Amino acid sequence: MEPLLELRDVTKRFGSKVALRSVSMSVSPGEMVGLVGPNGAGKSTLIRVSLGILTRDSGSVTLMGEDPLVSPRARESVGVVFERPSLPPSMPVISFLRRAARIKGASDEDVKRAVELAGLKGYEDRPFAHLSAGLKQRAAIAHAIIGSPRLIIADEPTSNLDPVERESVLELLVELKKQGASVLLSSHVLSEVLRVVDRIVVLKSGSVAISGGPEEILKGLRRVRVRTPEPEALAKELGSMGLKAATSGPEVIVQLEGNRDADLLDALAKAASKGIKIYGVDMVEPNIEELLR
Amino acid sequence: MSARRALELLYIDMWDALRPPAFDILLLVVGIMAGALSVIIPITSPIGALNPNNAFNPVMIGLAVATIYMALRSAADLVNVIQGGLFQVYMSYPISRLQVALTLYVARVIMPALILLGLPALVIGFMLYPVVLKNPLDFVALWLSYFVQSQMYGVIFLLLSSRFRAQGVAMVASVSFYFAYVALSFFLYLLGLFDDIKTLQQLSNAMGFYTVIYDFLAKVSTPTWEAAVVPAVFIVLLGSYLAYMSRRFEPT
Repeated sequence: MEPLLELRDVTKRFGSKVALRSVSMSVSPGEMVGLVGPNGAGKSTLIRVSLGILTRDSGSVTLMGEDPLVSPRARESVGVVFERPSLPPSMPVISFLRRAARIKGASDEDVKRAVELAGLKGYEDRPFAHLSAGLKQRAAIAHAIIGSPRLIIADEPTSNLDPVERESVLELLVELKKQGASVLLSSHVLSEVLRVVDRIVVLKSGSVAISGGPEEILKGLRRVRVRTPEPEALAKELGSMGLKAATSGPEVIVQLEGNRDADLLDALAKAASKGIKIYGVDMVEPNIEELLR
Repeated sequence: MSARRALELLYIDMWDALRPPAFDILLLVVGIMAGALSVIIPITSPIGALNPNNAFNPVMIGLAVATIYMALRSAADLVNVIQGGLFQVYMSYPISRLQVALTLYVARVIMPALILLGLPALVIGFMLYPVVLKNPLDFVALWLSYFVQSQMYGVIFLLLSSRFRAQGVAMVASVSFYFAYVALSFFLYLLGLFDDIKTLQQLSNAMGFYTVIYDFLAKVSTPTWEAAVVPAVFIVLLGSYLAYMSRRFEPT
């Protein structure tokens, strides 16, 4: 199947600074791709180059089969959520959405559906400037999903949101994917992307550092944190069972290589039977810095 | 379809560019001032009132107000549109860069000038209709000259605003430019008058398109090149603005 978005060897410079260096990536129909990287890695630049908002110095971009720099039609079935939600400040959101729908070739019925899906119902008559940060983000999402676009590009859609709102935005993206949309989700929070995407592209200093499925990416990064008053003794005990364990203050961090979850449980049970107290066990959320190390 | 999309975008951007209350207050001021002046002028200058060109002078207040409005509000707001991310939203639509640039120009320069210059013209047309109806073409020609002048200022403000990263700086630069332009025109005129240098006086005259048209309508002998200066500068600047926005401009 032809990708909805494809970048080949794209390089973008801002003066002497190289923002993107020979980046190649794609988003296929029905796929949710995570674009991950620390701040300044080039995620937003990649998105803007993909949409034809920024020019590129070399390489090619194909969006819906066309070059977005040459053909604005390429953006016809693309919904975009930008990092900073921005709509006309004084215009009632619903008026703006209706106008935007006409630009996108969608109907008022599509607007109604988008408002409901984005959880904006009851707030749509307010001017954008009068909405809270979370509602602004929802308005931006409603704007992006008008007319059921084939591709949704979301640039840090969960930034500035509280954990509950973050979760609901991610759930909404998953729901849209289920309804047939492809999604390019950019974030600097690896753990939140890992849960929802099919594939991850990790950017570092404008280059693709790592690319693959979440399982593949997570290889060697699955770790468990065990809280105990006797970290030295527990680490020794786990080590004797062939597990990679290291102390970190009042905790023991265990690296889970391969399928050794059962071994860990056995080892913890054995340690407890020897009188080592265990207060709690949880997964350590992987972060980008570790991934890029 | 593409033109219809651009019109929808124009509606959205006009809502932002002409949002109340500043614009509404200015409209009220301009309308009242034009009404007052069209009463005062025939009393203070009865001969002048018989001349449609003089009758039209109150629209000068509209030009000043439209120019200041464009400098302080609609063009300078472009900085916020670009920096705040709204420009990116516009660019994410299936509309060409050229159409987006044109839309911003229409919403932020043509429309405010059309309304702020159009209202005094309507008021004068109503108050002094016997004078205006005598020479309606003169009336229209003079109005257009004020309009073209305002467009030249407006495009300069848009160009300045697209270069600056802060709205305050764009405002100061635009207003400074306007007053420097007016001061330069006055200075050239005085210098030409005192030193009896005709070219300087002509250059000063040429800097105000409406003065050239006024002279032409009043049958004052004027070199043809004077009439070309402001429209030529306007066309070159508009072309530069559209070329810059559609080819080189990259939103941050």
